[in-house]
Amino acid sequence: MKTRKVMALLLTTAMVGSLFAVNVPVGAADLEPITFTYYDADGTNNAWDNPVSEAITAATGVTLDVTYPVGTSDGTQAEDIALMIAEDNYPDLVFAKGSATDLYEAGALIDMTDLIEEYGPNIKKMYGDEFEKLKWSGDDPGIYQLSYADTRATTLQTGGTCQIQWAALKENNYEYPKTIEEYEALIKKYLEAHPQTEDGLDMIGLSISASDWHWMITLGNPAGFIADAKPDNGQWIYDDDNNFYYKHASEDEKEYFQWLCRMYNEGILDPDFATQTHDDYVAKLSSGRVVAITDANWDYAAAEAVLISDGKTDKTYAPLPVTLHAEDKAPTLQYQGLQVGWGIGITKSCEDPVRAVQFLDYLCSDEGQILFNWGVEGVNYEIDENGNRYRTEDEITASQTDPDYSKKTGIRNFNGFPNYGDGATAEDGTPYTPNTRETIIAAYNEEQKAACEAWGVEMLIDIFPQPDEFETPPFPPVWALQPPQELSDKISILDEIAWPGLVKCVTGTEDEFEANWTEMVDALNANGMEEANAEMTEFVSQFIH
Amino acid sequence: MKKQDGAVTAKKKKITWQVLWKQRYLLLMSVPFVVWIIIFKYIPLWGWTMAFQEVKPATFALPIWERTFVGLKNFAKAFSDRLFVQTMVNTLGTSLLDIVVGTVSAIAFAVLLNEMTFRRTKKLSQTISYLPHFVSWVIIASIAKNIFNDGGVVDTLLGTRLHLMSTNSPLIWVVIVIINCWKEVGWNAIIYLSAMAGIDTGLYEAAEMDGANRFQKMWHITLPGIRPTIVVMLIMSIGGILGVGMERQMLLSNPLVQDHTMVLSWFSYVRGIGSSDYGLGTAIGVFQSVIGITLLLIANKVAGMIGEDKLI
Repeated sequence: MKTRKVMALLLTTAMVGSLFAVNVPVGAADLEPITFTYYDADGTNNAWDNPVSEAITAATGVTLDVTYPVGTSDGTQAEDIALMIAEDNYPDLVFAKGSATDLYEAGALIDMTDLIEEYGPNIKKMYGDEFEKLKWSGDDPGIYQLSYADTRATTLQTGGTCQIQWAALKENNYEYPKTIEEYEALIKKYLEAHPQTEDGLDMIGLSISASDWHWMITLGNPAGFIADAKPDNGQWIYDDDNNFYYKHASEDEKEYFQWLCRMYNEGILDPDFATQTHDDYVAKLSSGRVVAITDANWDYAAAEAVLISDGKTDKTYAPLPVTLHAEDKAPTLQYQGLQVGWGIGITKSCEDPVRAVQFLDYLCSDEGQILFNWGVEGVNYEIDENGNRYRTEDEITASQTDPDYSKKTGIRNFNGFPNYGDGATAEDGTPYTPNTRETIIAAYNEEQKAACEAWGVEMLIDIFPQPDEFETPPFPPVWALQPPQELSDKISILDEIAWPGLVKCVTGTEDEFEANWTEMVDALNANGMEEANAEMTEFVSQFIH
Repeated sequence: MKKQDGAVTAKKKKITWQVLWKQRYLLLMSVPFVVWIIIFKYIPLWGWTMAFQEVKPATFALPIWERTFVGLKNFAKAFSDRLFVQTMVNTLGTSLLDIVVGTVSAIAFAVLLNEMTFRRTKKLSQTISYLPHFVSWVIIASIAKNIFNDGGVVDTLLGTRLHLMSTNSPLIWVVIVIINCWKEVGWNAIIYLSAMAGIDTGLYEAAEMDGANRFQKMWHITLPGIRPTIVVMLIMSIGGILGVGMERQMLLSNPLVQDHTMVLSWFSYVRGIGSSDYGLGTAIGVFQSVIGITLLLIANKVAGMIGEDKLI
């Protein structure tokens, strides 16, 4: 009897104690040091040891132990995530990019809705009107991830549909190509005049990185921009009734790949493109050997930083509004709505989700955003008498030419964090990011300035079809949406066929092209392309409101 | 001669308690290894049950009786996969080439080493030759890509384009096998070298007296002397014919040649871990093991029939 009484007493105390624990007032931020593990699918060697992360730790008590994909065959997150699921062991916070479905279906992500309601006023503020879009699907209104996309962004910079070295444009009196024929002519003209670089290396007309997932960026996506003249929706294009089609079987793309095939056979397209690694590709770009590329600006930015610091600014790339047909509009400035599906989430392995949400909330707060985008006051930026933040010349130069700038300062050093975009302003009217119309114009290098002058425009993006010329689609960008497992398996089989199939079409002779193309399309049809199209249409329809 | 003795005694000796007691210390010494084998090799076979169930991430943590049994559906799915036939062809092709090239080169290398008169040079060349065995495939593959890729060292030296790594044909098998051979030849030669060390030197002396030259000695004494070893090694490699390692295939592959580099172990990984369908992945693994054991038994039988030492 005695033991029972003692037990009862103990139990009561424990229960009363837990009641108190729950009743801790919301406002009091808990600053007790805590370490969360974070898997950053886009990360490259970014440790939590820079001034910005230290300031975040000071404000929240949170230290992140960051891991990122290494050593996998193609450097993607898919294998890491698959192994996490197989081991049933997850990091506390995860940015899984395109593998979020796997985590979701494994039940690894927790629903943050209630936590955000209670602890996330700044998260709600950041996503504002578009907060509802964070809901997983029509069937499951839970919020499992934030969005990593820049919210409320105005596009101020673009890589265009394809790029060419400024040197080539300059020799053409800044007459830029608008169609693929003009693009080709310009490349050839420059190659003829400059068969070699100043260092004696042979110039390459056009290069592509296709041996890992970058095939989607430099081979797949440009085909969609140039040939289909559609913005990035992954492997999908849509018609006026929002029916979706796997894009690599479209007639326009056929024409584009036929063009690439001709370029390959004429020796304009890098003969080594199919087997070169992405590092080889970046090294080629950095040496100034490659006249033209079909890439995304974030992907060739590292190469440009090297070129600029080597004093070869004229070998950096001019974004071009090239399309296959003259009547098409280059879609790179089109606003597609808030991108959802890729973002940071909290897993079931996290022992303290409340602290995790509070941490995310801090990142979304004005203080956190300014820290993350601007850096540390007095070091990375100053405040003038009107209360506006500004960066010194040295800081701006460092941010453009030092490839390790992010790593050293911690500014935008981590991927997957929620962010305000360029052009978004806080309540006091000051911008969240250092990139505004004025700063971007001021930061143009001599090549970019000369081009603006020659074109008689203020900004480089002014030569592109403007955002107001397009209608915002009723669905978020499809490339980031997370289709259910069954559909995503079908898509990965289609990609598995298209990737080598397209490379084969390009590297074959021109006579073989027709046969190679038909072979690929037949294989796509035989492996469920029709079904995938129908399922994709159905899947996206639940996001159309 | 030895073989016959062995066969005779094996037949005579029956396992009785008396024999067991007599060999108690030997038996005791083997216990840890038997336990090790049971724990690490037999108990994990329990996982094969996944091949007959639907196991996706959501059901992975469930106990076995709560998962859905699907019979042979996973096997049917594997065999009807668009990649399956090509994968089998690749696995067998690469593997056979591996065995032939690997064995011949290792024996040739061992014979040559064995003929070296200077002990030091011999030891040095042997050590250098098996060093690559200890280097990871990640490193070997990046070196190999530098050398064989389009525009790589070989292409530059010859001033032409051989498309060694970009021809979508079984040529890539040959390239991979040659790289593998370079990596493993020294290591594989060790066992043949030790077999050669066991050959009676009297035989060589006698042959010399009869006027045999070096090549005749190699052909008539060294090679026949290591014949049992060669057979055992072949039987063992045939058992592993479907088990071509996945990392070298993955690392040396590129989208152009993927059709011819996909092998069973990789296929099991792509469909099992990659698409999070663990049941399917296990089914492919089970298939690989069952075929492997069957082939091993057949090879063993054949070796016995042609009058060589059996492995088991």
